[in-house]
Amino acid sequence: MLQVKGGSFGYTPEKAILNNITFTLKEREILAVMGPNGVGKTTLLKCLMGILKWQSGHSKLDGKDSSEARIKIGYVPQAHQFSFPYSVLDMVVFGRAKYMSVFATPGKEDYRIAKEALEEVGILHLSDKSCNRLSGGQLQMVLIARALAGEPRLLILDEPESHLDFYNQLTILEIIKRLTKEKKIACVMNTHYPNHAIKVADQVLLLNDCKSVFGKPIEVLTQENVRAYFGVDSAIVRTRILGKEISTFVILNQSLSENEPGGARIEHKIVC
Amino acid sequence: MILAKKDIKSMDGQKRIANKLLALFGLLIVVMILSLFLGRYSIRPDEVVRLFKGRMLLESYSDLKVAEHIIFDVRLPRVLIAALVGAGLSIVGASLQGIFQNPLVSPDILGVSSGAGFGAALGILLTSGAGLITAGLSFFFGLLSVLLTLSLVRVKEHSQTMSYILAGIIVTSVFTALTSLIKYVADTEDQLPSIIFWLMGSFANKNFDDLQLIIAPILIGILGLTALRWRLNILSLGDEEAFSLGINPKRIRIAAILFSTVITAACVMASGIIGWVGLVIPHICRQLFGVEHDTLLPTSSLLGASFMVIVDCAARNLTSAEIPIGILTALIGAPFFALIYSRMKGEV
Repeated sequence: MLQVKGGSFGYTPEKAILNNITFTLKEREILAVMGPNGVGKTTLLKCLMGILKWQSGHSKLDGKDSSEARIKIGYVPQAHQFSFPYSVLDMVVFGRAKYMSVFATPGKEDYRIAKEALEEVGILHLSDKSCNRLSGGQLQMVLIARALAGEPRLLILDEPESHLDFYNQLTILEIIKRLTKEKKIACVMNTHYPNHAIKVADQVLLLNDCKSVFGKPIEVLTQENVRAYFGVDSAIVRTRILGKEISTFVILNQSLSENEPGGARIEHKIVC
Repeated sequence: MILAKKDIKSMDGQKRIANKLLALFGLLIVVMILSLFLGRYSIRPDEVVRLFKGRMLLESYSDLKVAEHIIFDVRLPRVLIAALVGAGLSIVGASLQGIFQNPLVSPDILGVSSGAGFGAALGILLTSGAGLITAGLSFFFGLLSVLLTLSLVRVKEHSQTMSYILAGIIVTSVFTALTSLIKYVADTEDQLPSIIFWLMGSFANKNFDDLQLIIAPILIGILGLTALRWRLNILSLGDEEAFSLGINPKRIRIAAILFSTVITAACVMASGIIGWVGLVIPHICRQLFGVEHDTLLPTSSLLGASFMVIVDCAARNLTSAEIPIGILTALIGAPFFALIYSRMKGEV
């Protein structure tokens, strides 16, 4: 459904931040994009949405170039304060803008779809509240509902669980997973939590300055890859809790290479 | 079932807004009629009614000749111009605040007032009067200043709101300096006072010719902005989010800026520089009717029109010499704004 082939992008001509990104994502699949800070995770999302243009390569959604298929992409930004405290329902109706002509205002049908989206994420009761008076978790739900109101085929989320407590992190992840399966959409999300990737993602794209790996979470988040991409020693532990087989990602230490004995490094550099 | 119930509720909401608009329109009509009675030359309400009846029946009353002249040639055009300018400046303030995602933006943010002010000062310097040439120059330089601002913005590839505001500051300061230069070389007996009075803003000595000059640009601008009102919500979320919601933020922003500029330039052309209205009225309307631009734009223009008619009424009635309206809008607007701001507990 979503195909990215040889995608490259750089903010300056000399240095590309994304190099030859290639992956395919099927319907009902969730892709978790992982990698150290500043490696281009958000840039990748922007390229997928067409806010930034690929310098080489392309991404296709249902066979169409993704800049043309923009109407089928729903984007969920990180929760933030708004300049004007719109009500929750108004905010979700904004997701209908792409189906409306420039001079139109939303009609009954648009409000109905917006309310359905709110019910889908379970916050219909917040309809009349001001967006700037919500908790971080509630606001994230509003933004997801807004994307859903646009009836997307592909949902793109920028660190949807950041700044949330454990309970809300799980709620958001469960909602994302449920929607992806039920609505037959595909979903791309950035995350910093390996355990979240293992829990909900079907595929993981691991990014670093010049390379990337793509595959199933357990196969990608190996000891070697995590050391090479993050400079951290790790392990995936399988345990049985209450009769359930659970894979957990455990972070051990910052890994030290031989030529820097004893010194903990602040920045991890990969050699291209 | 839940959805059905909620639907009824949202229909009620639309009806409520329609009622509020109707109430604001009623207020405007009442205020306009009252300000026809009030003035140095007192005219009784029944005389006004008789005069209007006379106009409609094409009759004239010899005992009311002076009153007829005052009502139809002096007060009526003046009240209509004040209402148009108030509506125009308020809707522009509300729109630009949305576009630039900042509730502290006022209509002159892109330099239009300083440009139009310079044009008028130039006109007074060249023709020693506030005639058609002065008005034309004012309108022309108002438009030119915003085009200059926009061309400065285009230099930067990522047209973020900050670069608009910076470009506006640059253009404003150039035209303010040029206006000062004109004041410096102007004849101190005659030209300088009229430049200064003009810049302070006034609806004095306006007639139907002035009304004809501004009615088209202001109404076209108001209609244009009203048509775009719902899209302004989405622009107010920022460019990237607007883009991700499937709209083209650049095109809508340019359209809204052009409509705003035409309105503001026409307002300055008609009545000089009148501050505060475009800042205060949208704020009051946000408090009263909510932040959504769908309702904010029409309510702002109606309330702005009433406010301007009231302030103009005060300007010509408070003292025997007329107070420039720019002074009054600031004197009334600023404390009023302080009051709202403190009631909002610092939350803008």
